[in-house]
Amino acid sequence: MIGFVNSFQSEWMKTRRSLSLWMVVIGGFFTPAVIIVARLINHAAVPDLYAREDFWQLLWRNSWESMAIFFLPLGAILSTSLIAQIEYKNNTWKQLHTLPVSYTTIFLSKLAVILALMALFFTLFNLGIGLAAVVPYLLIGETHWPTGAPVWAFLHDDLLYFADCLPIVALQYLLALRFKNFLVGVGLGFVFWVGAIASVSWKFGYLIPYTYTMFHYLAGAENSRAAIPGANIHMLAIIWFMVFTAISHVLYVTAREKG
Amino acid sequence: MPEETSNYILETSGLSHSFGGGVRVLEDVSLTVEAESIYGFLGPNGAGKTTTLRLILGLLKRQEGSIRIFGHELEKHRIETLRRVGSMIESPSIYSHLTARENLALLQRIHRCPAARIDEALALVGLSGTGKKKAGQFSLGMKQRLAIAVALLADPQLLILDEPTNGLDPNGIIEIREMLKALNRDRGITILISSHLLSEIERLVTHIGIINKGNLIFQGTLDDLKTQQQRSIHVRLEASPHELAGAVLSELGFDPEVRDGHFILRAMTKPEIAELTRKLVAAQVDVHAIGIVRSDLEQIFIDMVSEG
Repeated sequence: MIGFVNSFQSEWMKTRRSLSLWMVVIGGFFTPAVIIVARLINHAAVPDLYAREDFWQLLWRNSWESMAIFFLPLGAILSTSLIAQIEYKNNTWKQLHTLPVSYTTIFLSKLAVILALMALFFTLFNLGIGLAAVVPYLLIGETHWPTGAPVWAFLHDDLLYFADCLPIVALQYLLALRFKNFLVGVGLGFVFWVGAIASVSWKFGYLIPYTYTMFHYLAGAENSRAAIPGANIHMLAIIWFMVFTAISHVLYVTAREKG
Repeated sequence: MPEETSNYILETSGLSHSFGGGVRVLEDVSLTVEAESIYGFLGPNGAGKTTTLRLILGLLKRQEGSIRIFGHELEKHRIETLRRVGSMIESPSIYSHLTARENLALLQRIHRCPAARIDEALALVGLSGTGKKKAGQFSLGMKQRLAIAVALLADPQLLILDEPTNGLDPNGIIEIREMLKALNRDRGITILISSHLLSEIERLVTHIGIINKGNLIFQGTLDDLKTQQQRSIHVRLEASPHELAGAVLSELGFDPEVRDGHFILRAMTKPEIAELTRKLVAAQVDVHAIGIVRSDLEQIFIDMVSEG
């Protein structure tokens, strides 16, 4: 366990000033920033908006709209690939694999860092949503502060979204470990993501691992044309995550060349 | 890990390896590296040096033969073994977006060595004053030195360096050589260092292994190689008429070898050479040139590799 903690700390230090960390920070605040700007531009509508009983739910759904369909899947694809690229780009796999650490520890600590980055992404996004409520309220007068934010329900929703993006992380991690060329993992990820968008109205679309964040959002949308599955997509996401992670681990540990 | 059972700190036996398509790159390589020695692993580019070192470190899956480090099989005691080994394979492995200190700090956590070792390792390679400069902005020489600091961080007993002076200027090469000598002398660190130039490591190593086309063609101490050098000393004679000179030499008991129109004779002292010259002249042979030819170690290395 100490070995894993040390390895995780070491992996986390590698993200310092890295592109993946910057992407998480920028990606987390992007949608809330767009909402803030939109509300400041359309400031005349803000008092009515803040007076609505469902203000928080509306803000939550507005924020998640682009996040669930675009930014979360694409962010998971890019940040996962970039974490592995730190080693490829610096030619450090060989150094990493000659350290007194088991291959499993290396594999899990890298995965844990990716998941921690995703958790940071969610945290910053939630903070951004809060700012998207606070900033227009402070800058535009004559608005009432909306009370009754369902914080626990939102956190629960966060957890489900987090579970929904896990298959993307696991499959992208597998690809990133297998292919040195950054474009292979990202390119395939992009193809899967486009395929997922095209599959949300298909009755078996829920079997595609990249669709879960989309289904999660669309399940609550009015007039959605998506084929919302009856199955528990969050559980399916976790199963896919475990399957991909297991395959990825076996491929990684048994690789004939390690740098 | 149980007590060590071998006299050698590193020992490979019958190490053979093929890459995809069945291309044989190593054939029955048996290295023996004594404790506290500096072992120069020589060979031209593509001879199999890096493949051997990658196998020793477990970066390639072993196919045939065995590898024992500190007397134990690497696969069975990988983590315990690697705790005592520092390495640098091919180009420096450093994180270019981090500073020198950060590069070492992230490894210090893995090695669980005292934080003070970071400063020690940086001082050892002369990189103490690099401050916030990112490793990506370092010169090649500084990167090489940082990579050596990475290898030294955990105070290893065995240091494996693959062509650590590649791309360095002469001063850089001398600096690295002196540093490695000091590490071996003062700390008793065993060093296995590869190079494709004998002249580069001749003044550093105590033992030498020469590999060519995947075969280990020489292994021994530097003195063994120098003995081979003594054997290679000969006298070269240029004389005419050629047939007459050959006949006179045979009469005098020489068994001359003819190479490029010259006679190659066994090693002789200077008075012996003078005596031979007088006899040849007396026999109406014109002596155009005669002298002792010594092969330097580099020439012996080149000859070995060429013969291989």
